[in-house]
Amino acid sequence: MKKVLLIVLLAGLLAFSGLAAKTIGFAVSTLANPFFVSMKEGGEDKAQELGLELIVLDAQDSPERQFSQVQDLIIRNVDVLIINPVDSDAIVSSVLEANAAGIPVITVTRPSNGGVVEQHLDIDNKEAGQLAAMAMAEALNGKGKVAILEGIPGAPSAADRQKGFLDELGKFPGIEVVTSLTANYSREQGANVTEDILQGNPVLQGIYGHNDEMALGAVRSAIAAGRIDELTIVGIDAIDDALAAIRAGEMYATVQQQPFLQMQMAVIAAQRILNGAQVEELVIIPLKLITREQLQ
Amino acid sequence: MKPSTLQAGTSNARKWKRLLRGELGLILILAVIMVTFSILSPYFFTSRNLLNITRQVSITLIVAIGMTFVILIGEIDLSVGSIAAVVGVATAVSLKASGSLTLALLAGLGLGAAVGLVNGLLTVYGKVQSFIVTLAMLGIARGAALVWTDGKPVSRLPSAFGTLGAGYLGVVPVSTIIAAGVFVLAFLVLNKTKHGIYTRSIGANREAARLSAIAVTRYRILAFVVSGLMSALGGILITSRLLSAQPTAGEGLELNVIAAVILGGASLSGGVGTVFGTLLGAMVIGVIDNGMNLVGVSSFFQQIVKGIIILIAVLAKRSD
Repeated sequence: MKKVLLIVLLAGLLAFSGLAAKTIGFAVSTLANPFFVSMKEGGEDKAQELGLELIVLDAQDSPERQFSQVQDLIIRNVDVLIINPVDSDAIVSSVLEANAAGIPVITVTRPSNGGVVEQHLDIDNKEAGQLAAMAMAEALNGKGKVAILEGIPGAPSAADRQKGFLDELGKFPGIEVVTSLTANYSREQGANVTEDILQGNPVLQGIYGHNDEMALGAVRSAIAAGRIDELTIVGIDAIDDALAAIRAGEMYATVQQQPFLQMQMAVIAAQRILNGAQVEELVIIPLKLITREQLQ
Repeated sequence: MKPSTLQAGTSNARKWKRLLRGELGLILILAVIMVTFSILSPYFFTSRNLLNITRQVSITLIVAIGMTFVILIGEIDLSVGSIAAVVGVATAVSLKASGSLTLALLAGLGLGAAVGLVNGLLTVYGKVQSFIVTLAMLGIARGAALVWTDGKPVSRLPSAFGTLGAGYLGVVPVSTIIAAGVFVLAFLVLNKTKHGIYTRSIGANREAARLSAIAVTRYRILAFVVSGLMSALGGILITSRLLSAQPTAGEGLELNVIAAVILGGASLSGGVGTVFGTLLGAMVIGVIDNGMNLVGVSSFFQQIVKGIIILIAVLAKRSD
């Protein structure tokens, strides 16, 4: 009897599995981050428009799980694989297996450090850091103490966002970076680390998060500590919550890197590959600095 | 010693019957799940995918077999995922430093056994609940992996090392063969040796086992060493598979592993459980993950569906 129940349950899932059409597998690092959710929505939007089926598998930030999922997508015989790697090194064995199976691979946001990839779509993370620094310097009039919340240690995006920010800030000798700690791109950790930073730095004018999630964590802790008014908080990614925070005056600026557009373009590239056309090896998605003025 | 062996002997026949029935139930459930996925996806019931599943399950299974020893004896080991991570780092670092695979494997397995030994000693001699000891170790081992690597993965390992986790012998994945070997070994130890009988008796009633002059202390400590060793092997396979030691590897592994063991019919209060049950439990979880990926179930739904299927499996087994 219970077995019947099980069958009914699973048969219900059939509804989610479309048939026919060309299939694109999208192995995404984590859907617990609105940035990647927006990416997924962009992919779904474009896939529907082009009459493609998009299968999205969420690795929940685990490279092992992503390995298995890519494996499953290969067995599922998807026509093109779009991978947003959890880790650029760990993904290599998966890309090699896809290559061996003859399935074209596109990577988004994080590159693969090996194997054959038809197209990589990225933003220039250094430029993102640079734009964030320009906004920060402008808000602080070139003078003040700043703390940094870093992304996942070792992630190329975090390294570039750090470098771009520091390089640009070098032009403003009046601004001092007092501490730079990792909060792993997570809002919760961003809040916790900011609490400690605020404890340890009674005087602080700015906080830069390598992404909006951490910057929004910083906002929570700054409000709790009653210091939101003295702080200029800048993030990257332009997720909805960050835009709302900018409207509310809690955050000063963010850098829009248009994940929706990025994934739309990845799906377009997949379509081109399916039609046998050549695609560019590297596509850089343009960036935009967003402050309150842009939102009005 | 006599009375307890006698007691174990008479209850054994009954226990076997009950266990077998429980496992038959689980086999049926697994079969139903597999038939369902076969209907839903043409890619599911292919030799390629079935071998793929055995590879995907191998790591969970190996660590779950270690966990079976610990749960059988009435303890728990929450540190398995962290041990896997720190061992992966240790193996990768020694492989890069020495260039010797043997040396690297010994270093990794040795570290895993050593951490397991510490877990066992603290639990037994420190008289602290293993839940707390291994919870602390979960943090310590994870932290050690992060500090050691500064949070960055240890990559660019020699590609020959990838054979263990990602290679094939003919069409059979190497990690499947390793898992099968571990399974047979554990099966023999638990069913054909004193070690197995004692482990079970201690889990069923520690005081009675002590009165029967069983070296309770030794077997309890050994269970943690076995678990540490199996976690180490799991960590080595993860590292080999990704050709990269991730300090964050194996996060949440303990939950999947404990679920597999309990699904397999083991009791968290000790004394009850088999490695065959653990194998089935690990297969159920692995097949659900794989099948839903093939069918293309939306990833948010997957976690709900997996939870529901596990609940149904456990409930169905109860009422059998």
